[in-house]
Amino acid sequence: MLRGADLSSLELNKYLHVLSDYLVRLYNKLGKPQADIKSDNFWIMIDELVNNWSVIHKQEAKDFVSDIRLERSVEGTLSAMNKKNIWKKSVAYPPKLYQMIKVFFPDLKLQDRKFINKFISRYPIFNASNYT
Amino acid sequence: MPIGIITNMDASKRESLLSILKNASPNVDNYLTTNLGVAEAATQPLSEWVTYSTARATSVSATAEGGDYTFSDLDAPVRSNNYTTIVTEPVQVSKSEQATKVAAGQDPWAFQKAQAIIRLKNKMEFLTLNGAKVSGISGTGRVLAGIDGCISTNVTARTSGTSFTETELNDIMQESWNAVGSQYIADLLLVPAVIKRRIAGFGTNLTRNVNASEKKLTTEVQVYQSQLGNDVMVIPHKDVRSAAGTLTVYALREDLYKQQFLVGREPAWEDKASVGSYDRGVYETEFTVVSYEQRSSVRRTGYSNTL
Repeated sequence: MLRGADLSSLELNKYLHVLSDYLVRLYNKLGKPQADIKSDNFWIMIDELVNNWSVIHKQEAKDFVSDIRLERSVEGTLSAMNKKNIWKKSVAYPPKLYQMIKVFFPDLKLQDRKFINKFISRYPIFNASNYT
Repeated sequence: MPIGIITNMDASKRESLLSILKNASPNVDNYLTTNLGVAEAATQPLSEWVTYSTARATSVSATAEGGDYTFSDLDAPVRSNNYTTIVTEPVQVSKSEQATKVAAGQDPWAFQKAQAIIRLKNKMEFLTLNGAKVSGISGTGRVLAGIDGCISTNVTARTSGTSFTETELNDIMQESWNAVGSQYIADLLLVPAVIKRRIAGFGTNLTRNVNASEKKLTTEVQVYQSQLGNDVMVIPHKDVRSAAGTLTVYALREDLYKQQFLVGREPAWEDKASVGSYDRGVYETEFTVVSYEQRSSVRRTGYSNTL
């Protein structure tokens, strides 16, 4: 009945079903890892989420990369920020990736500095600052 | 002069109706209902929990050698409570409507049910933030106190139109830092979009002009390193008051707030008996908000709603 509908979005929906199924099976196979940054299985799952996000949400990924570059290019110097008591950006999450991570790890604190340090060392593109 | 026939004159032409339904409703961004944890189920509509807090010592009386001890009253845990609220989203679709072919080809009954659960979640979100506590004993529905109503210690009303500056931001975090132990300092700023944009502009190099339209995403989740040790996530939220004079900024410790359902009352669909030419049913839930320690949170109002 969906005559004339946007075929690419239909294909995407089909792909999303397959992907969801795959991610859930992987999550179970890894023993339903907890949000523990010391666990290898936790990072395997995060790797899968990030990689699949960049495939299924190509436009968001593209926009995000361009925004991060822009933000880094206009970031003030550390000394100027310290002088004015301005907070340094540490990480930025694209909204869809954020929700994907939260689905599997609802207890994960995405503003936890230990997690952020490991996350941006693995994926420097999410580092919203020129300074680490 | 005869012109033959043009489309304006032809009553037999078929309509041109796209079979695409673009749903761009703003009711799908529900951060709190999606991300807050869920507490153990409540067993009655008045849900209670206990909190405990003691002040830091500000002076010390030394005990004299060989002297007696001095005993004083100790702080006891105190009870906090909140009411559960019944939230419903009824759906009724006539049999004729269900039999009718519609533009996007979807089943109207399934479509309306799918939309109803989104509306229910959105209502839960609004209540979680803005619910105004009502006991319900007067015959009206019980209403939970939302996060806004839970915060009572660190509440400041700024003069209407006060500019939201780096100093305000740091003062907000300091208020939280003063009130609780360092492991409970606020780590989430819930703000209207305009404040998120202001905060994003704080760290930029003032010598270079950047066209705002260059930026493509506006809803990315930004995390900042506050000057009091914590990393703080900034979430723009559509239900935070953003009108001039009442614009509000919340600093919250996310894991100290939970949603709590009355036992067996998680959101669920229930078909209702049909007595006419329609099908009907309702999505229903009963829940409340648990605030384990509101002292960690800060609420400030009155900021300017312009950039």
